Amino acid sequence: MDDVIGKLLGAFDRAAERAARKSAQMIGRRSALSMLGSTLVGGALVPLLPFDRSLRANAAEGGRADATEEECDYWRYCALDGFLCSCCGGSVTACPPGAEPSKVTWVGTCHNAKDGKDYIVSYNDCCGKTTCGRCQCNTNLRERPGYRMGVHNDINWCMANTPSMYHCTVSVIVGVSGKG
Amino acid sequence: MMRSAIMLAGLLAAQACAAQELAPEKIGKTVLGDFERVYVADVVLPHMVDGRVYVLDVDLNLKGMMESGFAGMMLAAPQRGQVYVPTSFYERLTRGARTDVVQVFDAHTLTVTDEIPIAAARAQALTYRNLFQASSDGTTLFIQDATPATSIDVLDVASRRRFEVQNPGCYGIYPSLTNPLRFSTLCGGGTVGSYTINEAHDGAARKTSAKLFDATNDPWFTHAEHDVDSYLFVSYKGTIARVSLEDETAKLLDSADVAAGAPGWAPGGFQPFAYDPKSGVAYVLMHGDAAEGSHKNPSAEIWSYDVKGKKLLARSPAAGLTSITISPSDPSALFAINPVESKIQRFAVDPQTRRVAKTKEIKLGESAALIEVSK
Repeated sequence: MDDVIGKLLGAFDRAAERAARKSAQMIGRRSALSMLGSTLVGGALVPLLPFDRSLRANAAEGGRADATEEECDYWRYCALDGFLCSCCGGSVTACPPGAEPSKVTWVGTCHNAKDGKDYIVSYNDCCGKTTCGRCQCNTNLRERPGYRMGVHNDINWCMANTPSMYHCTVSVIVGVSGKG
Repeated sequence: MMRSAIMLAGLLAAQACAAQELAPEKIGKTVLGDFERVYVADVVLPHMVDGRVYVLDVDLNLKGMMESGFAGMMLAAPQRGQVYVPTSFYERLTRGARTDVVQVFDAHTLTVTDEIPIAAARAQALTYRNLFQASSDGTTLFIQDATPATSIDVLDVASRRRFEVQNPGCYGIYPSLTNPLRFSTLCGGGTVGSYTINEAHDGAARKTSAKLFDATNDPWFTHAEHDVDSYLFVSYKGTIARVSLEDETAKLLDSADVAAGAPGWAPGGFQPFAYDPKSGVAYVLMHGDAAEGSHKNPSAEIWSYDVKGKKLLARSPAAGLTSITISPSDPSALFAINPVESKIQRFAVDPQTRRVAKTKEIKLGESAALIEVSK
């Protein structure tokens, strides 16, 4: 897990640092740290870890063992709100043709019954094409309101892309919860 | 002879028809009168560039609609005869430069009469009431931004001047009910940040409350209702918290547990409760088998809860609802979004028992999340 955190921190871009410094000046270090911990910023596909470790104990029981990747009950879709890219010409981990992965994401922690492990899943939106409209899912395991932005899914996570049009959502494993 | 008779009969019949023929008509235009409106904001998820706000009367007749672009919000300003709809447009519909504006609709013609440019940082989010609000005197608009770092734009409607305050780790806007220069926000640490706008109207000082809620284990929904002098928030597990946002620092005044004595039941949805300040009764969308992750589940029942008396008054079957509101002029009328059946529904409250029963509905909407009733 430490490696994952290192990679994620490395993904932080300068703009985010500037924003953090500005915020720190305005409202103090504690709040700035709160922002960093709850907001995913960066140019890479991986998020800064916003999940709360205290939630890990309740890690997902969810999903249906026989669900396909085009069904909302597929295990790694436990906190996915949007259209499945696997139904829109992409796959579980790849954006459809012409769509770009979002620069920022929210995450879920989902249980894979096959190996008994809880995985941190990055829900990247795919951006720049019109909304797909197929296989709409709305699962919310450990999803929280926007004041915990990194685990909030009622917002367009293409917001930091140009163009920021929302197309569909992929589910990319970024690490194992509880490891490290 | 016979042939001539038939021809004559045909001629007579044609003349009779001509007598009944409809006159040419003029195309009309409809202008809405002054009646109480039900506004339903729909982000139409399958085709998001085409959002709309439906306008209905309280009998749930569709009277018209307003365009809300990509992930637009809405706020009625009945004292001005206007409706504000902030949204985003792209130069080439789905691509090209992004332009964000507050569209000002005339509430009677439903046409855009003005546009106020705003930063292209507006939270492109599902339509939650508290992402776009006005000050208590209606002169200032508050717009939640997310890039995803969060801030709030403060816009003076008359001068169009605006400034931005950071609200990192926080989300949602809750204007003071009495002080037009004050607004608050909910924060991920379980606190409430309260801002007071300075005299120059170009900045705001912030004070943070004590920890008022557990954002990890029992977070507050961002939807809030207000009483005469305080706000009400509801938590995932069913605690209703009464909070004063009138002073420099927010204060918790009281709390009650809606789901006490009913294990497995919890509030759910996007606009999970409505409140009648006159009677002090909250109407809460409740679902059974509640568990982590069920907080947006549609309702199975509406619970009528006396917030001041801390007493459950009635449980009424009402399946499939995720948003509910109440008429400010007639507290016996509730309006709700049923996304399961793609319907808008009206419910009547029995003033004695507080039981709720469905009385009307209209098939409408694709991804409606916010419903408001306003003059």
